[in-house]
Amino acid sequence: MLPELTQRLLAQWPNLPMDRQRPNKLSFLGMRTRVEAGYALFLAFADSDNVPWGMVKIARGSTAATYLQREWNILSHFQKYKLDVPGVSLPRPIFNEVVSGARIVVTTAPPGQAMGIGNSPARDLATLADRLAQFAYATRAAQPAWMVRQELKNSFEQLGNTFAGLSDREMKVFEGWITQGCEMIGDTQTEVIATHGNLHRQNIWLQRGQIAIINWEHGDLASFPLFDLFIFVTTYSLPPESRGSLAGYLHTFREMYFIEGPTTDLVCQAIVSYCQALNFPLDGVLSHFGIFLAQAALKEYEQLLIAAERGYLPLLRNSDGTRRQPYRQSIKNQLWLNLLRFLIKEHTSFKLTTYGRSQNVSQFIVTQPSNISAEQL
Amino acid sequence: MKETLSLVCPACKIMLNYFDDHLACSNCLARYPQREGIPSFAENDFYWNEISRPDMQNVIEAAKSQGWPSAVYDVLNPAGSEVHATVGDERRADWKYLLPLSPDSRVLDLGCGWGAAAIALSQICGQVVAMDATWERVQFLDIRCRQDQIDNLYPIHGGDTLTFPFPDGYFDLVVLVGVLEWFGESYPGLAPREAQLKALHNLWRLLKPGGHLYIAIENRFGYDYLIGRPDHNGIPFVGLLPRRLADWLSRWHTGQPFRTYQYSMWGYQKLLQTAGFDQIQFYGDLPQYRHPHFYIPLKGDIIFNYFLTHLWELFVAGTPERVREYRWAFRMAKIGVSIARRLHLGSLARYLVPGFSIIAQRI
Repeated sequence: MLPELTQRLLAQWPNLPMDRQRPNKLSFLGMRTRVEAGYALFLAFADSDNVPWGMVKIARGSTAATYLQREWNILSHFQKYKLDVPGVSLPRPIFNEVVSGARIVVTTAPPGQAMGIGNSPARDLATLADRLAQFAYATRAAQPAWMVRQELKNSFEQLGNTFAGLSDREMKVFEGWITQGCEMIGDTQTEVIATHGNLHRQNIWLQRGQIAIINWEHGDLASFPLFDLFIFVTTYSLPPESRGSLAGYLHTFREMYFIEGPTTDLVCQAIVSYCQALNFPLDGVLSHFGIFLAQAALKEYEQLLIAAERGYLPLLRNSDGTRRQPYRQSIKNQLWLNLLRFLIKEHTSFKLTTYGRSQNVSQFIVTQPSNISAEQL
Repeated sequence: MKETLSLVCPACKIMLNYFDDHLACSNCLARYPQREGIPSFAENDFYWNEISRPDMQNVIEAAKSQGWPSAVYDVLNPAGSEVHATVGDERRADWKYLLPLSPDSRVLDLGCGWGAAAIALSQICGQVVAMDATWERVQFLDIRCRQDQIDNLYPIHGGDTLTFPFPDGYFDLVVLVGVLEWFGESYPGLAPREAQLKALHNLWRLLKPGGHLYIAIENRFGYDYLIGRPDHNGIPFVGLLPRRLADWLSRWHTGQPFRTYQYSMWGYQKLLQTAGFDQIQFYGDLPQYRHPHFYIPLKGDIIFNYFLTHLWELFVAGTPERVREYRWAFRMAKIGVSIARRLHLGSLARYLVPGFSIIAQRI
């Protein structure tokens, strides 16, 4: 497949949006992706270049092909409207065709390297909050209020239908957040922004003060503010060993949102900075956080089903982290739903809304240029 | 409707005739049974698997009655093991994208195991023949094909002889994942390297001109062997020794000769060229060829250096299962790479990758 792609790319090179001369040959470095991603990933190197110029994604099936098409559409949209966000770079779409029966999408490769394993959480979180706020500011748009309300109500119904195990009390608390979310929406229209939809740190690459955000196949041009930041902060602090272990996740989640400590402070600081930059009311954060967890649960459920249909065991464990569950129970007992349940159970001690030190981080990060220097990154 | 596969007599290469319960050669009158509709060319009752034979029987019974996913994930219940990934993870065969395959391609997966690679290949190729010497694994694959309605994959029982029941020039691709080193073990009448060469040459003949051979195998000088990972016969460091010394040590330790020959990059290159192959490409499979996360082209050191400087973090992060399984190897590799980079010897690391994906062509 890649040999044929190479031939096509080299033949079409003058007509493709390339910023490099036509090479004589291409080499490919294969990288494994998550099961749920549904595509194979290769970095393309031209001649003897020491960095890749392209990312090649090959869809394994029709569902993944749909996601890749979605990424293509979103990146093309950004390209068409010449989206320019200070400090943020996005892949440029280059090639989108069916090759030997498989959908292949090629974009430019991100500069720099993938964000590491959380060696500097303060810097990473502050940088991300800053850059995401700038991105949100640049992509904001107005949407009819009824449409957003309807979407919130759909989340409630879908959650009830999908996860029959949720208790009445849990559904009631969640319904309260939905109602609160609806009340916060304006009468006629409300502000939505473009979101990435899967912003964990492997999708963020860093180079000299710039961040590059890759893998937009779960992106949305009109979505709720805060979604990307929530994904990032809920997955950021998880060390590799705890990833995949429900107990590890719940422990980290509790540390981040319910216990006052260095991590809690950093997370709150990032969220408060972001909300202030976008003029988003802080008292709506809990409601939005709950809705985010529910939407993430629904999204994960859908992805796990697809993975199971393709013969994969969802990578989840029992709460003791030791023994695998039969795969059907694993699907039912998945990560984001458990985080949602935990939040509902403990929401009275959720710290963010009572966070008392927000004035210390009140620097308005959108209208001012970023004060994070290249050296700091 | 599944088409009938064209098979030839392994002995005289005459097309075999299909009967209800066997295939027969009209020339030498040899008969080959069909067990549960699966042609069988195996000469021995061989069994190799990640699980015991009785456990495998349970899995097969469950697959028949409850469906194969349930058999693997609910009955096999691989607590703490990675068997489920061996069975079901199509990402293990992402090397397929490096090859010029199309819906017209015909592929032989020799030593197919549970069939994960064969299934993955069947999604992009026209016809895939999956052959294994362990009957139960072929049986499981056949059940999976029927249940998933895969009609372009043909499980065949066999592969324990050096001759194969296919016409010459029949395949566009022959796949050997974790198989080449075992040819020496399977054919005790020949010296290990001779057995490997003979098998490779016979497979070369099965390829169309321009067809490819894909091999996934360990590196004799992989960093994991250098830090003491046991070889196939269970003895650490034995593969690093000169062959005669390795053979003596193996006989002394296990009572068995050392016959599972592996090679360095140059060694494989020479072996394949001697067998008639050309255009040989090497990729480093990390962390291991059985469950690769990265395929790194090893021609020149530029891309490998990029991996070390830009992607190393992703490799080390791994999945929890991999990190656990390769905990020591990860730590030692990290220390080794760190020292090598300080001494500006990072590019030498590519010669120490634990395994290779090798693509060779019949010109």
